[in-house]
Amino acid sequence: MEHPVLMFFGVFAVGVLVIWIKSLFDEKKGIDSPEKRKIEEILQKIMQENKEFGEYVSVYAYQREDHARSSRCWYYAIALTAEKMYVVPLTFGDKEIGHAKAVVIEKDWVDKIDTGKPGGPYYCIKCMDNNGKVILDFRLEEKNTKLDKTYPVNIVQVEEARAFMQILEQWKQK
Amino acid sequence: MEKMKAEMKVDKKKLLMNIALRSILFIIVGMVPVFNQSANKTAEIAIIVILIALLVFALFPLVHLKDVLIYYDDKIVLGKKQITFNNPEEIQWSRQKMYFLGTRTRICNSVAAQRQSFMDFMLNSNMIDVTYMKDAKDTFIKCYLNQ
Repeated sequence: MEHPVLMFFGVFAVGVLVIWIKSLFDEKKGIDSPEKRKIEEILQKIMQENKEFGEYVSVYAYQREDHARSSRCWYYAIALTAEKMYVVPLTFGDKEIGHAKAVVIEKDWVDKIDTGKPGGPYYCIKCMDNNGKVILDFRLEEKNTKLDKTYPVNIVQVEEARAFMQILEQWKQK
Repeated sequence: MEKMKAEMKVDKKKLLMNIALRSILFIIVGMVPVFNQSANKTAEIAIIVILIALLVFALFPLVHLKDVLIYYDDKIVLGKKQITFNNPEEIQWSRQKMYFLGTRTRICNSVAAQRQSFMDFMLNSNMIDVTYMKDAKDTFIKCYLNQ
């Protein structure tokens, strides 16, 4: 091969193009994907169990922790009302989505909310108590697409994420 | 009497695929004497030793062939290893990338999750390797979560 460097960049460019096209298809799927419906179903069940019959916004969020040679990820389904936040830890299998019991965070318990830089397409949210201790830390993305096992869902939630942020702004101004 | 929730056997396709991937290394090293005819006696012996080691490495997943993973109400058992728990939400799933060999999957409780080194894993009975088990995580979700 006369130009191995050129070939390397060619292969790299094709790889990037394939991933980009895949993410476009995944975004289309994510508008009404089975994962999105399942998460909404889980939250609906949790809200009924907790006798919350008012309006709420449901979103999918995650938290990733990177170490030198490994990373850990936690996944959540979150329902937010004007007064309470229901955080449901999720577990992803190959085909199944499991959930643990919901943790309820009341507006009064949260002293400070850090929402990172304003505007989308993602928000890094930290909820802190009176002592400044972080009680919940997660990343909310408007568009989630499958990449590998660390990013297991196609969920597009542009309107939901913005509505969620609006309610959080109200929580901030209590 | 402990109540069994589910029993899983080894995913033979996955096991064979892993052996095939490991065998690539064996084949590559096995090709060396074919292309390098001028190797001396010491090099030949070294290659044979390396080939034997690689053969053991390639066939090692076969030790899991007869493994059976059993989910009980309050514990998970695989051979002599077992994890007990009060609440299934304590159970954590750990995935470790093994480069071209794919990903290693382990189940551990929250205490064992703090220890991640290879020696910890070898010495710790609170960690179970379920890499080759069929639908281990999906079955776990069906058995313990979403109820």
